[in-house]
Amino acid sequence: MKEIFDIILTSLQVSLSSTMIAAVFAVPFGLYLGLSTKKTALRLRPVFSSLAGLPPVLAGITVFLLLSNAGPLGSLRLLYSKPAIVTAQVLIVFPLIVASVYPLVLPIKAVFLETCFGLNIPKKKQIRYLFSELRYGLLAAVLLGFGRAMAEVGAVMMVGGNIRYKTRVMTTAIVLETNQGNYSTALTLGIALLLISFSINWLVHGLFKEVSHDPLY
Amino acid sequence: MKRLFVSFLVCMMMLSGCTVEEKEPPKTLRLTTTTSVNDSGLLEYLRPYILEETNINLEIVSLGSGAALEAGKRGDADALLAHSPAAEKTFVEEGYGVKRSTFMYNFFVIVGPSGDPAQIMNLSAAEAFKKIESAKSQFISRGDNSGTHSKEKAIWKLTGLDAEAVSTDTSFYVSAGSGMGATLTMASEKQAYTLTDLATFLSMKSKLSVNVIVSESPDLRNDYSIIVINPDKVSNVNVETARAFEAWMLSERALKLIAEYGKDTYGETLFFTE
Repeated sequence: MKEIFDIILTSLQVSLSSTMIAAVFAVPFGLYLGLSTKKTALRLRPVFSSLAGLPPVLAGITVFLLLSNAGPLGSLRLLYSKPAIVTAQVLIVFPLIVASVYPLVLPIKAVFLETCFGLNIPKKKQIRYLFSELRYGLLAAVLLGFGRAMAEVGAVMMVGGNIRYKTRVMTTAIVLETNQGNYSTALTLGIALLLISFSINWLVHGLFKEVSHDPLY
Repeated sequence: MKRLFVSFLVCMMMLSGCTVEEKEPPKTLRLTTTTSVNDSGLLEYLRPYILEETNINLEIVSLGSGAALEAGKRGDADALLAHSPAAEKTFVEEGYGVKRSTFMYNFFVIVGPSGDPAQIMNLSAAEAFKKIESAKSQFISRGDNSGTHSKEKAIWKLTGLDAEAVSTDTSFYVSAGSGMGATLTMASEKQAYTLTDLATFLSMKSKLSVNVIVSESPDLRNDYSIIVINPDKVSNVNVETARAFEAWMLSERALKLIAEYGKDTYGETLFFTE
């Protein structure tokens, strides 16, 4: 029982870290991509949309090769560790958040820029206002990223190694139980994973509603 | 357009005519095998012979030994090819299998870093495990209740150490919960010892930086068996085809083919027959 509890804790620990790291960079970047009219920004939009759909094992093999003994960062001895899992998850979650953030900007962009221009709001402040304007959509984007990180199997298996007491997370534990033919344990873990995801989403949405006081939401 | 259609029809008739001339369609056998057998390539090597001589087409599903036996119980397989003697015996005793025929064997090997930090060269497996434990050299376990993992546990039992205490000692014991390939990669990356079947190790050798340290010690013997699923206990299994397959696999001819497998690719025999 304690072992299952530890597995759940590891899952939450790595997925929360990777989602937070990814979100800190991906949200402002996504807003910028949506707002900017520069050619590079326009070109980058479809790039991130397609990166969001990339197979996660590709992120896994990239991180694996980087951190492997023979790889450029092999001396850090980070393969089969939690930071390795976090790195792979950041690679998976970052484009996903970017790709779900920039489309939020597009429908309100014209009105928003006009207002900013009229009120003479400096560029730096624009992003902050946009942030509060779109907070509900941004929250949904970040939660989507978190869900993706929690659900990831292949990449986590590759770079984490599914090591007992160390890098075993819920999804890799489910794979292991399934491979052993312990289908009921696997299913129980799956349902636990679902319940945890549900509670976190429910909690965050609830908190956000109270803070926002926005009649529209 | 009409002409095109007619010529298309003619083509189709010719094509279907070709298949009519063949003998009766092959019977399908759902064979569930443990990953190590499948990874060795043995069954792909035998497949054309089996099709030719018994008209059986193998549908191979590769699973860990635990899941393979579970598949047998659920009727998702007609026959099993496994290497977990203890679990197989229970399986047959519980009535899920008609009988269990051990038909080939090979040896597990202990691989590790070439420096051999625990000094286990030329020891028996049990002695080697004991030294690895006392030296606290990193040891990677499959940790997935596979046949290889069962063997590892059996060897720990032979050492007289408390197997439960060993498997929870995170200072040297790493339970990977992965297949043989992933476990070997991990052993190579961490420069650690692990127990592996020879076939999988040889097929990955060029990509690994670990070597065979202990081999052909009698306590490393690895028996492979065929189990025909019992139709009285499990519904919807094809027992005739399974029996025909079993009979062929136990024939002189098959045993000779098996004993020859791997000699040209690896320069070593991967499976021995009696």
